[in-house]
Amino acid sequence: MAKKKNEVPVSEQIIEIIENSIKKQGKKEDFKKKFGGLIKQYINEWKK
Amino acid sequence: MKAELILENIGQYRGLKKYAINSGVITIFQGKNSLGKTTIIKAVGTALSSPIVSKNLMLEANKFGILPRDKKKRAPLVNYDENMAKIILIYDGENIEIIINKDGTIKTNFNGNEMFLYSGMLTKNSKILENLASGDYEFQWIVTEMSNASKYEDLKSIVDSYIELNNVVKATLEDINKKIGKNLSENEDLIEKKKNLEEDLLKVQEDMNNIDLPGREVYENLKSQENEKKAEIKGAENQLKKINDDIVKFDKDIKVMDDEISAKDDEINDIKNKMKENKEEIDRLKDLNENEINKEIHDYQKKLDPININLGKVLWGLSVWSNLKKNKQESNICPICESNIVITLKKIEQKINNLRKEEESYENKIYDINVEIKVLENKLKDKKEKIPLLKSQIDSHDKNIRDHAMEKDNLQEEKTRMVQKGKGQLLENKKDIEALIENMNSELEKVVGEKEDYEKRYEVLVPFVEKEKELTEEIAKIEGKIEKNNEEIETYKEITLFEEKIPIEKAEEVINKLSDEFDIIIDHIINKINEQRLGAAKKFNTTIKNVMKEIDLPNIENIFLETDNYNLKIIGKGGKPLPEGSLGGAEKATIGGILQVSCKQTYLRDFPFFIGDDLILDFDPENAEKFINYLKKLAKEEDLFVLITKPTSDKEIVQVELQ
Repeated sequence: MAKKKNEVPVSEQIIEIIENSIKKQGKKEDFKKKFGGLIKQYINEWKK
Repeated sequence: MKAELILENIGQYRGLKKYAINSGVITIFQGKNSLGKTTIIKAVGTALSSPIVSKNLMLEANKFGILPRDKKKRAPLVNYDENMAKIILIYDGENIEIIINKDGTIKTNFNGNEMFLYSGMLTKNSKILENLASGDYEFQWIVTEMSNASKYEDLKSIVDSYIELNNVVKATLEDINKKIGKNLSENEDLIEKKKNLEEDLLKVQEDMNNIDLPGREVYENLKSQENEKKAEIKGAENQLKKINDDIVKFDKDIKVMDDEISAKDDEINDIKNKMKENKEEIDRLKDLNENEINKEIHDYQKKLDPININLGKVLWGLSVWSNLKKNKQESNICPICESNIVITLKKIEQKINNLRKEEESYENKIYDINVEIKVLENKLKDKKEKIPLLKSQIDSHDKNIRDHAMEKDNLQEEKTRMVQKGKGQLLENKKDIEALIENMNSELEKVVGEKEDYEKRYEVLVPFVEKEKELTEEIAKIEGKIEKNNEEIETYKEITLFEEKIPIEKAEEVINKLSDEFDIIIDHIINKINEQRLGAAKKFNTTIKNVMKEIDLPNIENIFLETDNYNLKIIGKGGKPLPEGSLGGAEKATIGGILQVSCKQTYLRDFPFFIGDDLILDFDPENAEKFINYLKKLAKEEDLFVLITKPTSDKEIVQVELQ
């Protein structure tokens, strides 16, 4: 069964974003936005 | 393949210059110095590499004379008397059109590859040649820039900035925890001290109670009234403090509303300005006289007729003379007018050259006239299509103004309501509480006065009362210190990490978790960077080996990048490494040429261009010939456009093909 989003370690998700960004020649700003968003989301989860 | 290069207002040339270029051969632009041969090479490089976005490549473009050094300087490729220049490069289904403004801004319809500046341009300013010339054999930049390693490095710099911030917050948290610890331990000591003082106070009060005094009940009653009044005053003062805080907060809210109202005013003014511009544009378009414009277009079209006739004659002449050239046919009769003249192959060549110049001149005139016609047609088109569009924009602006005005009115009303009700009520409450405190203070003064009268009568009590007062004051002081410490601890109840507020007791756990996750991410990126660099170096080394097989250098057996540090290694015949100092300028230039062409063939093989500026001047003659032969072979096998410049004594640029 697939893991729920919050059960996947943040590093795993960020590595996926990094690889997608490299593959699709994405912009640095877009990566920064996605990376920052995910970090905040996890901080919110962990602080509870 | 065939390519067409059209340059407008580039370098020292105003107006148009056109060049037809073939692939599969080396095209040489030759002529004496300062004719603009290098400008042609730079223009092709600009067309193929733009848009240039990375900072490193902007520096390269500046070195090549493509982009200005800074925003204040003029774009070096734009003719000094013009505001903009244009480059058109058409080849193999691509139709690149690039406009360079004098401020260095570039507009292109092509998604060029900026890495072409590192790989496809062989000039003395090429980074590879500069490296070699300065004795710098560190080539990690090639395997980084020409692979995805540089992109991983870009992403790593973002992750690094987060790690740095996480570490700063971690250090801040450690400071906070130290301060909290200090306050808590200080409070423990203060509480102990307070406990001892309270015991002493209790004892003094017990001793006082044991003394037999006349009217003691009244005195005790006054004392308890004094304590009650003091407690009541403290309560009222707390209420007053809360009201004052509410007033400050209220004023802040009003300030925010004022800012919002003022922002609405700005937005309305902006839209009004846009409306004004639209109306002025409509007036300008309405003033355009269609008949006059149509007449001007007609006049220009009439001017085209004789030019087209003359161009037709020139083209016919060209085909006749070109046939003679093709058949190497000398004769005694002019093929055009059939008069008796001696026609040699040299004369045929001269005639063709003259006719080509005439053709170019007519085509330039036709182009200029067509540009004028296009400008006039655009004016007519604007008049027809732009007015309804501008009118609809005005309607939309009008609606926006009304919407913003309504929002502004709502804010204004809300503010008025808040000021009238909210602040009015707060000020009233404040006044009531202040009056109450004043009243209670005067009552307290009265009670204390009466109590002190009793105390003066009870002389025996004086030392006890003084001791009681002293102990009470000391206890109050300690309570104040404890409260201050607790207030300070209270201010540390949250810490901000990446704009998120985290309860202080959870902060360490969150920061450490993040730190662990960042370590995993950084490990991944570093592995990828190493993997990319290694792959890029292996490919580069294979290409260099293949090129070296074609260009057999007399003293050098092998050239490659070491795969542990990406330094350039040059192995001499017999297998011994050649140290940097043992190579002469000509050898370095040849090695540079080999590395440059290998770099292009490794990383930008799909790009069918390789360009060079006076590239073989610094080679020794034997190596120069080998290099040119290799380029000829490469151009043919890969169907490449190879463009190079060559200094000669020709007074105009002459285009020559090497098969």
